[in-house]
Amino acid sequence: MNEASTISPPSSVVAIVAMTSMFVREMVTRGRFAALGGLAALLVLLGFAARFGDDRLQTGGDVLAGLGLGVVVPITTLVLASATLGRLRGDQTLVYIWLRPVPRYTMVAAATAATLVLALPLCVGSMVLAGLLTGESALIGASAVAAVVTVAGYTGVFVPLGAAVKRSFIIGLVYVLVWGGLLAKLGTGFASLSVESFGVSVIEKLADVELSGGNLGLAASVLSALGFLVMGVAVATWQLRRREVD
Amino acid sequence: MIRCASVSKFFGQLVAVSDVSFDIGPGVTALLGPNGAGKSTLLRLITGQATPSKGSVEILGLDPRGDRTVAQMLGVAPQQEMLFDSQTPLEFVGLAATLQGLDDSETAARAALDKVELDADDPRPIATYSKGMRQRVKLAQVIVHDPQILVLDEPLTGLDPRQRLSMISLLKSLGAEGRCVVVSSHVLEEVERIGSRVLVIAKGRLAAEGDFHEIRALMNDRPHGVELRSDRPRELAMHLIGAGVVDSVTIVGGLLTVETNDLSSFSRAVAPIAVAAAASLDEMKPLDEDLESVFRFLVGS
Repeated sequence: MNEASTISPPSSVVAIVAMTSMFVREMVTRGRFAALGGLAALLVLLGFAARFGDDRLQTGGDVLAGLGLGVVVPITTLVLASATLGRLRGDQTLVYIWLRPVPRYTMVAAATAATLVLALPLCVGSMVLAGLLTGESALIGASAVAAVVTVAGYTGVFVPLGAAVKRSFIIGLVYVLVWGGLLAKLGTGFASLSVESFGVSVIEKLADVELSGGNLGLAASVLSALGFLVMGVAVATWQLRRREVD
Repeated sequence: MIRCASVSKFFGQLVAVSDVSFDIGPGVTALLGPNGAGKSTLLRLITGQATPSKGSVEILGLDPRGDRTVAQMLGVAPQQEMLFDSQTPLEFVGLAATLQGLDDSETAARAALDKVELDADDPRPIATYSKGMRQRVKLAQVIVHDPQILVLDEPLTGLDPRQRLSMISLLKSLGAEGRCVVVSSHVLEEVERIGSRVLVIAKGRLAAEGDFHEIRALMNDRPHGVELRSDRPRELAMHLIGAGVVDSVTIVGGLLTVETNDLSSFSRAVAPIAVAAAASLDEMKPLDEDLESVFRFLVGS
């Protein structure tokens, strides 16, 4: 027997990098990316169609906010985030990282990083391309910032959801459709807890266009999304600490 | 090395583990019990995956759930088959080595895969692996950091006879090196080959403990039911009682059901007694010889 007990645990950075790489490998499946790619392509197509509308800025803004931030970004982030801690919990493989001598927050940081690594290029890429094709230059930068804000906010919701509950995908979908799609349109009270509203507000303020559900200020939206992300890491870490693992 | 003191685990109304106490030292210890007996829950309590509802668990004097240093000394193979399926075995075991803090994780992963007779250079993902190969990948991630305590839930499931022998000899050699190896199984014959020390778990309780021979003797030293078919059951019954080889007799039609505490003496005596009683002995069938009934008896005793 060697001196196993004297081996020091890895540094947090090493642990996070190793687990992020594992999560990314597990997430990247052909089926998953075909579906997400199809969704992104639909957004780009409708962005292109918007340039033929009477008011390009308004129509383009509506497409980017309604389909982009209301459907493509949340679904993409949900699908990817669910493939991290939630999937590992579901198929009982969480134990293979949970029983290692690494802090719980490193597992959450890795799940968050892996979600961002894949969701950001997909979501920002399709939003910017769609913005570009509307022919309205104001929408390009606005949709890029809005996509980053929305991906960050949704990652902060969906990663801890996977760590906390079994049917995280369904519950995440309900949050997107009911909270973001319906309640947030009713007023700032609901909107302040709707990630979609953060992104819509960003487009509204940066591109100077009036959109449904964009009731918040620019700084408030960006800070709220970042707050969701940080809170998400904290909540998921707490979940992993207290939860029993199969 | 492992101490369970009056440990119980409840899931709502369900009592999965009930007031179990034992100490496990170096060497191989087998946890024997039927499916659903509470073995996996007990192993999860030992590894810190679950918290006891009552009592306490210690690993080398530390709380496995509260003290992260336990993870440095522990290697665990859970029962479930799923692994990180899109990874190759080298990547999967390499990740385990990295997270355990090994400097050269690839070399350690290669050595561990070699020990379980898997090809470290196999480029195929684990998704393509058979049940037996997955069991060996699981064992490789257990031994990659050379832990002092190994906890393996049903590690022989899915292995072919040759792989079984090789796995048993590996577990025994790990035990002989002074490690604490805990292995669960619901198959009596497996345990006979693996474990010098056996803890019998049934209905969430510790039904018996000792070395395998003691457990075997305990299992044999219990009332055995035997069913006999004869043309003259009453005469046969009278002679059996007269010879003192049975404890009780029930006759239904031509069927005689006897209970005996000494099965081997009864088996030797029954034919001569039938001849003496001028009764035919058309059929003789032991009852309750399956493992479940043995466990039932141990729990009742």
